[in-house]
This record gives sequence, C-alpha cells and structure tokens, in this order.
Amino acid sequence: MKAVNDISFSVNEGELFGFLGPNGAGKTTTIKMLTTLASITQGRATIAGHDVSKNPDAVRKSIGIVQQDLTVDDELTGTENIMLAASLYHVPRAAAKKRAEELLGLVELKDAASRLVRTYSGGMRKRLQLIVGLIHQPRLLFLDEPTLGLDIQTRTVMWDHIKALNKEQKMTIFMTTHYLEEADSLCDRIAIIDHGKIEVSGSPQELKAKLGGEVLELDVADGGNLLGFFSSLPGVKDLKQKGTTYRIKLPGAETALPGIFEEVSRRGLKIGRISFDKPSLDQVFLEVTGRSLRDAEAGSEDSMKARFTGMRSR
Amino acid sequence: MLAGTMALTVRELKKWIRTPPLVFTALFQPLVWLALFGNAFNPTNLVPNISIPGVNLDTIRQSILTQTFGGAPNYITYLTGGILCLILIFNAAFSGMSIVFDRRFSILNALLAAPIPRTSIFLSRVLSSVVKGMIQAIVIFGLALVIPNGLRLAPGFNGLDLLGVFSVMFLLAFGFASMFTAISIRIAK
Repeated sequence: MKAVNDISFSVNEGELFGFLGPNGAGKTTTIKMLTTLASITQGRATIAGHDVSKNPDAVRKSIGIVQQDLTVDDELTGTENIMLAASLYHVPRAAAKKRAEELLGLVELKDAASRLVRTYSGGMRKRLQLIVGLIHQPRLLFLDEPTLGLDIQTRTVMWDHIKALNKEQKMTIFMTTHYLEEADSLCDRIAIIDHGKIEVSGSPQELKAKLGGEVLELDVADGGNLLGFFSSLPGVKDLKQKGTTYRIKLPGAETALPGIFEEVSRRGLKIGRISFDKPSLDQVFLEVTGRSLRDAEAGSEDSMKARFTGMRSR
Repeated sequence: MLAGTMALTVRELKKWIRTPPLVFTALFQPLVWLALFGNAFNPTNLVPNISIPGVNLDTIRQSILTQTFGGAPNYITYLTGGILCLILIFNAAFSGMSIVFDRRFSILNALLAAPIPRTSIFLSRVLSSVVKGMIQAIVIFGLALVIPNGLRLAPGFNGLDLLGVFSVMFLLAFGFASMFTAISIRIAK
C-alpha cells in the first residue's frame, strides 16, 4: 500500500497542466495533498507561494477545486450554490453577485440560475460546478476529470470553457483526465504519473515526437525495390518490408509524402494502398505505463460514490 | 468562523423547509403523541364516570395526579414536558445525517477544502438541528396550551420562567445535537 511515493513537478503561472495516469497511479491522492485534504508525510508542496502543510488556509484561499463527483447541491438553486461558495470563500456579497452573473453568462446558465439544481441535466450540473469553483477568482484551479461521463457535445462545450478560462482569464489550471485527446487538445504541458512516480512530462507535441514520428504503410503494386530509397529519407526508423508492403516510421511524414509519391511514379510503380498513423497521446501513455490493468483497491465508499455519481449525472 | 457557520446553517434550513414532508412529520408526530397518548394513557380516565353516593371521584382523580405526577393539574401538563424533551432528542438524532450524505456526495470534501474553520461545518449541523428542534418545541408548547384540558401553567408563571423553560430546551437540543453529530462523523468513516 503506497499512496504516491516520490514525485516532483512544478506548474508555471498561466499554464494549463495535465496530470495523467492510470487508475490507482496516485493522481487523486496527489490532488488531495495539494488541496489540503490529505496531509503530506514527507516532502513539500508550495502553491501560490504558500506551503501546503504549514499554511493550508492561505492555500485554500488561492485555489479553486472542481471535483470529479458532482458536488453541487441538488436542493439549492444555481445562484444559491454560487452564493454559498461565495460566503465560504469570503467574497463580499455585492461583488459575488456581480461575478455570479458574469460566470453564469460564461457557461450559459443564466436562464436556469433560479431553478433548483435537481432539475438540471448532468452537463448543466457540471458547468455549474465549474463556475462554483471560480467565484473567488482563484489563482490556481484544480479540475479533476472535468468531462467524466458527459456526452460529446457537452464535453466540447466544457473544453471551450476551460480554454477560455485559461487563455482569456489567464487562470492557471491543473487538470486530470482519462481522455487523452482531451489532454492533447487542451494542455500546454502534461505529466504522466504511475506507481507514484512521474514517468514523463512535457508538451503533448514533445511527448508524441519522442515516439519517433508517423507510421507509414504503403502497398506498392508488384513490390519493386524501394528499400534503398526509403532508407535515404531523413530521420527514417524501423524500415520493414513484407511482401509488397513497406512499413516505415518517419518523423515529418506529412511533408515527405509528396516526395515519396513522385519517386514511386518516377519508377513506374503504383501505390495500391496507403495508411498513415499519427502518433497519439494514447500511444505515449501506453508506452509509459504499460498495458497491464490496474486493480487498485477501492473502498466501499468509492463504489458507492461511483453509483451516486452515475445516478446524479443522468 | 461566523460567516461560514451562518452560510452552512442557512443551507441546511433551506433544504429542510423545501421538503414539506419533513416539516410536516416534524410537527405532526409530536402532535399525535400529545393528542393520542395524552388521552389514552391518562390514568385519571381509569376512574369511572359514575356517581357513588358519599364518594367524591374528583378527589380521587386529583389524588392520583398528586401522587404519581408530582401535583400536575392534569395529565397533559405532566406529559408536555416529556414530549418536548423527546422532540428535541429525536430531532437531534438526525442532526448528523446531512454530514453522512455530504460525504457520500463528496460535498464534504469541497467544504473541507474551503478556507473556513472546520468547526463551522460541525457547528452548522448542530445549530440547524437546534433551530428545527426549537421550532417544533415552540409549536407544540403553543398547541398544548390551546387544546381543551391541555397544558396549564402554574400560577405566577412569568416571562422569566418561560425564558428558563426555553433555555433548558435549548441546552438539551444543543447538547444532544452535538453528541449525535459527533457520532455521525465517525459513522461516515
């Protein structure tokens, strides 16, 4: 039983940072430690200049948290949920009202603001939850799986909101997600954690580039002998021929393709089929964390929560 | 401390008021006790309503009350004190339930991560329970006064006495609510 072990990372101001890892890798515990919900037994964490262990109250004031579970209150209206958070974060009433209006407009919930949250759809609750975490204009926002269980339309809308928060309001965001295409399109920088260690970190582009480029597969009618030509391409890796099929790993394949076409037709050969795989963050993730499934221990409370979350997000 | 406690207490009470069945049962149940038990268990009813020459049955009824119920003028007067205490204790027993649910929905985590003293989370449950209990108690106290042959106050009962009665009820509610809320924190773990 080790809940996280030895990690070290920093998030720059204004950055959208993605924190990825398989289930049970230590993501949630890390967030709990950073948000003062779990104590740090060894080492140190600093948020907005405040030590998490020594000055938890200052840290709490400077962060906003949007949890994975739906934490908005069903029996209160949208506005009441926001105003409750405002009083918990010591935002003066007048200022809170103004900001609430603004935020409700941002996530297009103005019309539903005075309705009980019980009547909201899952996507509306998630959007409300997002702005509830923003009422005190935190310097750092924690998003724990912000799009879990949402349909693709709502997810796209959430992405736009998250992007807008980061780019327009200059908010630093720390998010976890299991959707790697989400991390790819949103995050400036990501870190992958597994077994309580940060395995890799960098921008999605950097990490994908490390995989060694696009995978190109060409079926050339009657084969020909293109091995020599392919190996002369700059940066080529893993060149293979199987019957009439060539398979190469090639960085910058997009710009190299026209040249390949020209060469093939110059030799009077015909391409029968071509496939082109861009390296994805999924591949990076699997390469780093392996393919074995994690059967992390989950308490009865977790399964209960999962059930409730499922119920409530309908 | 105060702002957080107030906000959370108001939240609890809002949720309570918005669930009419809860408010209804809170008031209906003690009323049933008062009306039903007040009649059914009344021992002076055991004395038959007949007239026996030379025997004053009212004196017998009165002496039953004097002997068993500390000289209360009627059975309801004796019973009301007990019912008020029961309301407060019963009500307090549910004071911690909202913490259990908040934990299940992870709302508690959101509260724990807010820059408020954690005492205010606890205190808000206690206070909202006290408010609920006191509202019930006041209503039942009033009803007991107006029902026929109901609560009769001792001669010379004044405002100060009333304050005394309600202070005792407040302390009772506060004490039990604190105890049950503390227990519920443990349950949830």
